Amino acid sequence: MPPIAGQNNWSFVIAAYAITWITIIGYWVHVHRTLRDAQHDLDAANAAGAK
Amino acid sequence: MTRVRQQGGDNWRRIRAIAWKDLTTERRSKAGFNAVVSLGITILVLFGFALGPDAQVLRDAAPGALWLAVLFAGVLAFNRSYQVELDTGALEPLLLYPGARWTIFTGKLLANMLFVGLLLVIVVIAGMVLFAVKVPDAWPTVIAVLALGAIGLVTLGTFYASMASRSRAREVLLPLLLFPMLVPVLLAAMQASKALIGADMMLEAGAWIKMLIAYDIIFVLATHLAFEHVIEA
Amino acid sequence: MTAPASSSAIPVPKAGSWPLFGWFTLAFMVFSQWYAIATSPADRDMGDLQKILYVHVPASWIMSITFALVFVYSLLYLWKGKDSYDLLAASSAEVGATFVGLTLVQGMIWGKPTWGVWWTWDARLTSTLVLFLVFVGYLALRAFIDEPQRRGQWSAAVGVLGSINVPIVWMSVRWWRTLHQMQSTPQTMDPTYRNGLLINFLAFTLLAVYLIRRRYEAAMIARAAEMTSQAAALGGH
Repeated sequence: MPPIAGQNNWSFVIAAYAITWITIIGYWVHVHRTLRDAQHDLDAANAAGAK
Repeated sequence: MTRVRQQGGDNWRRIRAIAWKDLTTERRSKAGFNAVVSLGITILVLFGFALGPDAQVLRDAAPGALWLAVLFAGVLAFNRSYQVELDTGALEPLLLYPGARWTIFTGKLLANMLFVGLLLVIVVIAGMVLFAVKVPDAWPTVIAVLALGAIGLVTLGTFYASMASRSRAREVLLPLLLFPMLVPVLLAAMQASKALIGADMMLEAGAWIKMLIAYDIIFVLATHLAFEHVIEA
Repeated sequence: MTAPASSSAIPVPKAGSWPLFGWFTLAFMVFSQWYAIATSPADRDMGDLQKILYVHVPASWIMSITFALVFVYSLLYLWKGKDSYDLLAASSAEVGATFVGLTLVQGMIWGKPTWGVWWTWDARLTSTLVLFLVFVGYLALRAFIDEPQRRGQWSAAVGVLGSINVPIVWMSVRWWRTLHQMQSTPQTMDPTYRNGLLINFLAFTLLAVYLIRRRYEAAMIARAAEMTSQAAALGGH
């Protein structure tokens, strides 16, 4: 096992946090887009039904 | 008491009828079985090429290659086992017969068990020749390991095929669902076979065999309970 | 059709104050990560890499929660047959798959400087990968079936069997090989580390709750829209 203490590993730390936030924001956007599309479909269906 | 026994007899008759029907169809068209066995042996030959001509390496890799060959060939068999019903539209009438649904699953399980068992015997013999594996001293235990591994493989394979074969893209769906589920069986069966072939110095095989038994019991029960929901939907 | 709002056969869950909760959760995540990084000194053995654990361990914790949720909701669906249980199981599985994928990538980023390789066939890494594949299979099955009733029954069966398999996979892979460091319980850790980790556990749990709830809301609305347009096509007035 290579020695780690004292070594500069900030690039790995930054990469890990970056991937975490990319995943969270990406999935967040996906969920809200799905939500908006579904709401849109429901409104359209209701409007068509009311006609 | 007599009613219980009567019902047990009915279930057993139903299981036998389903298994018999599947095996008869399979026997009438030998082409299916022959093709699956040929595929299994072809995979073994390809593993031989991949792992190089070194005899010791081949011998060490033999259990893994054997199980993967049976796994890939078996997947074809599982999808086939529902194919006849689907092609002829015989599944709905089958469900209309009175009686417990799980008997259909048990019947198919037994038929597939025999099918894969036969496949396993042929592939194992071919593998022992191709990979230069000597018959180990503990051969009765090896046979037990093969049987236990086959039970796990066939149980989950038959169960997942009942869904995958009735969906779009069944060729990809069955292995995608089945292979991750089979990781414990494959690990246990490979490691136990490897330990037994190599004289099992560390007495590892016992622990793996216990795990195989537990896995088989758990999933035979779970699939029988879940089958009713799956076949009616 | 006179009252289109009430014509959908299934009750649509309301957004309520969930959007507010969502923004609060995001802010809380930023705070908890800042707190953990700011308060922790570099670890004696791991150096700065130890800071990855503040997002890695909570992400893997979400993975275990979502697996339990898929199991419970699948069983509930098989038992009661209510659509909402099916969609809750599916939402949990999707969030779970996302976090398992995240856990794997974080683990690889941690493993490269620690072990010198991106991947080792260590017990926890390998079993997590297998579990990821189980999740993927579950979601693929759902994507390939259109009829809601059948999709619900089948994926519930796959969800229950997959969850039963989790401990077996874990045990078998551990027997097969292990070199991962033993799980450190909060009691044996330095209090500064423990507080940072605990607050991040809380933040990730809130995030998972929020995402599952909103994903479920979207799925219920989509189902309602489908049923409404079907009813209209079948000759609503």
